[in-house]
Amino acid sequence: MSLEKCFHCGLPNPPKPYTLEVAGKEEYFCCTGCRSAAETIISSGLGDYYRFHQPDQQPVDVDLNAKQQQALKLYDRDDIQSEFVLAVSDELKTATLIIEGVSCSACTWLIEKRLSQLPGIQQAIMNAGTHRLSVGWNPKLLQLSQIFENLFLIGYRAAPFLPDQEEKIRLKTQRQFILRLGVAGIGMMQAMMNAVALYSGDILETHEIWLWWTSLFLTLPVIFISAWPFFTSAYHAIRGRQLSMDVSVSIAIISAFIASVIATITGEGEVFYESVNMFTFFLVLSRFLEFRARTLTGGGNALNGLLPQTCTRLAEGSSCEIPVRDLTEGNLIRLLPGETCPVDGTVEDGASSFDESSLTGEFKGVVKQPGDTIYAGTINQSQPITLKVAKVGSGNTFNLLQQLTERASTEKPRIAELADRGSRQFIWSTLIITLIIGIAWLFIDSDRAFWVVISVLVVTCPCALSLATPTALAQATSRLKADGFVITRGYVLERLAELKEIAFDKTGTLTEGSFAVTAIRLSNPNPDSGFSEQQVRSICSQLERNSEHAVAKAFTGDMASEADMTVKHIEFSAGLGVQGNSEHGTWRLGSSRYTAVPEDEAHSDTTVLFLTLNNRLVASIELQDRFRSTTGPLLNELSGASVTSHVLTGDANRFPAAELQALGLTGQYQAGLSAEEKLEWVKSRPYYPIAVVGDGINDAPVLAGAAVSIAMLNATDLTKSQADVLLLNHNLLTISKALRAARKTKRIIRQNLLWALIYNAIALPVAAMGLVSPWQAAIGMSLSSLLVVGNALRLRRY
Amino acid sequence: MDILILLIPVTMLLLTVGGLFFWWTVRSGQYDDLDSPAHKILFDDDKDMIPTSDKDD
Repeated sequence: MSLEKCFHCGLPNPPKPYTLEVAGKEEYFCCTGCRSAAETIISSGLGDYYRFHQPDQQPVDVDLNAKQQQALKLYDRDDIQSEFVLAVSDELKTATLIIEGVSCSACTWLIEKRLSQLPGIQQAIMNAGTHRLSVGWNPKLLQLSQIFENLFLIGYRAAPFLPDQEEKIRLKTQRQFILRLGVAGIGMMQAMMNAVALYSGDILETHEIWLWWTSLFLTLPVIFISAWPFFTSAYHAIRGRQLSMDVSVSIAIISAFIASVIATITGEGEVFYESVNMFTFFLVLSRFLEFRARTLTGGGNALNGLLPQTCTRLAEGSSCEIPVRDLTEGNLIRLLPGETCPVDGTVEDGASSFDESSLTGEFKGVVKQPGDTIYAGTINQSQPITLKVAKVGSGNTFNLLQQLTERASTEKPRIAELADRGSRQFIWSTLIITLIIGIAWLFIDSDRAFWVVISVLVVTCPCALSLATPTALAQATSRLKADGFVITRGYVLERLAELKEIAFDKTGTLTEGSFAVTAIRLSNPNPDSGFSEQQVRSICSQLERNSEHAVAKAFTGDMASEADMTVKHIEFSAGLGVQGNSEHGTWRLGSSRYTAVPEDEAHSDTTVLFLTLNNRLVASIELQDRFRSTTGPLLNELSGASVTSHVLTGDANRFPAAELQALGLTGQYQAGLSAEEKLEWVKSRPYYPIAVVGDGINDAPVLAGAAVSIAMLNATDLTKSQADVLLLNHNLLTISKALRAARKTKRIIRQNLLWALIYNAIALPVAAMGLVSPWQAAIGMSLSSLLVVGNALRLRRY
Repeated sequence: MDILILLIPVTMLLLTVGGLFFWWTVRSGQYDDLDSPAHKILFDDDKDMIPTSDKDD
């Protein structure tokens, strides 16, 4: 693309980017990971990818190391494959993988093409909506680990996908919807054709009867396949002493159908087959669109990818790689830097610092000494250690959090749908009025009574009313989805519209969730005798280059300059710092204790690292987790929309409170909360509709307990699985946009309902006086429905 | 117009056959992915077949 942006991922490039020649042109890359991915893509002859791709702004991980390759080899084992691989025959195995890093349709093309180049691949079909790859291969020619490896080399991470119960139901429901839609569509078109012949006027009585019978048969499948779920749902509603939208829909469909059948059999009156079909078709369509917009997201077996499936077990002086599920209590395992701990355990030998951010939200490392407890799901940051397994499987901390989450989600109160609430009285009154009119007409003119009742029922048919809500919801949901606000539960828009309070997690939600260098203070600013800022950055990045620690990531952009200073013999001290040698002497980078520099109290709200050369201070470096650029505007927009914003954080540090209040925080700042305390806090709020935005695993329980839960893009899978909404970009302003959309949706639903009521208020008396013939009622009904759908379309813009 | 007596049953028969085929396509999962196929057409490897190769950017 250009010098500023990475050719592969689109992120801003460091001052001296990596280069690669692409199609005779020099292109620039932000990191070696992106460069090598691009190299693989180009050398496989798939350079066309770059003509269409939309960069996803995520750098590619650097190459697989030997250890990771070893772990991938485990996917070739039969007992591990048995969980997700289907062996169709000796020469064909199939599996579904979930792919991370897919940003555009060019990615699906690239993945399919690259895989089909491998020998032994029988099929590779990528679903762009769900990011799932279904792959079939010949195990004699190709190993599954090679498929994973090849995906990794072009910049995608793959994990086995196991469809969970919810996913299976989703697929079944979607197929049902399509079948219903197709049947109603075919029925509608055929019945319309018959209707044209019927309404043309120039038709013999016998032919007319034939066409009536034909339409009757055409309508039967529509009634029994397309409309049937409305009837069963209405039946359940009535049995539960409820009046739902489906009840009135069913009354309208059934009464119009039965009236038509009676007319067909007796040979006199009117038929409404085409109205029945069309109404059913539109209703199924709007329900289907709403369902699709809301359910089409990733999902499935989330935890599988999060925990590593293998680990190194030490037994009798030797070590071997074994699957995690073979571990038993008391086993000794070796955990290398960068590995995620698969079980709860205690440190047996060695010391290291652990990233517990997945449990606490705090990504600063926690030092672990022999005897300390290590939790499943935490990441080793510096030194290899040996630990003794304490709890395996369901007993460990990770699973306890999951259980807490599940409990909170079952306790979530279910609010009846807006449409059902708004229209219940309306349905009652319509039914009662119709009944009164019918009885009255029995006395006035008993011959016409039936047709007047049908006219009244059709004219007051709740079509417009029942379309009023789903069409608006479908439109708003799909529009928001295009903006990266993916709604996965039906009640979200309704609750968002009534939202009074919103609570944010801090780290990773309002902040970027990683350290960035905010200031470098040189102790000797003279450029001739001291070191320049650039040199300091370069030294730091070399010192930290092998570290998995969160601090190290702050320096990754500064590598590969000043090649004259190579730092060697790098040693880590857990939780303290790192040292290394160059021609200048011994460098140390770390805390004040490690570098023996007195700490400056004034800066205790930030993390300060000190860089020393031969025990003399060279520079102090301030690191801070920055607030996202959209945090301030979001808080302002929220207070403008009179929504109170709160911050709940696991971080005990209270300093960011002032900064957040300056940015526009209107509510409380709760620091040092555990996952349970967050949940308690949310439950204790007086206003019920409270939204929670979070990302860490420790946010999963509070998300499950909130009225509306929103998970960030970088959220852990467990958190995402609990969220009502997934935010697919890092732009926090999407939240306030969604709030506006929800309020507008509510307004439009109100307008639609009002229109339906006014229309009925006018049409009902006219029909009651017997002035409307049933076919005129049908036209009025259709026009009224179209108006409602048109109004919902206004939600394209908000 | 009495041809209708033949045409109507024929129509119904064809519709039934079509409906059954439709049911089969749904059952066999052909509508499970409604998004990707629409994009796939854009990435056909027909670059060599397009005569004016310098036109396509």
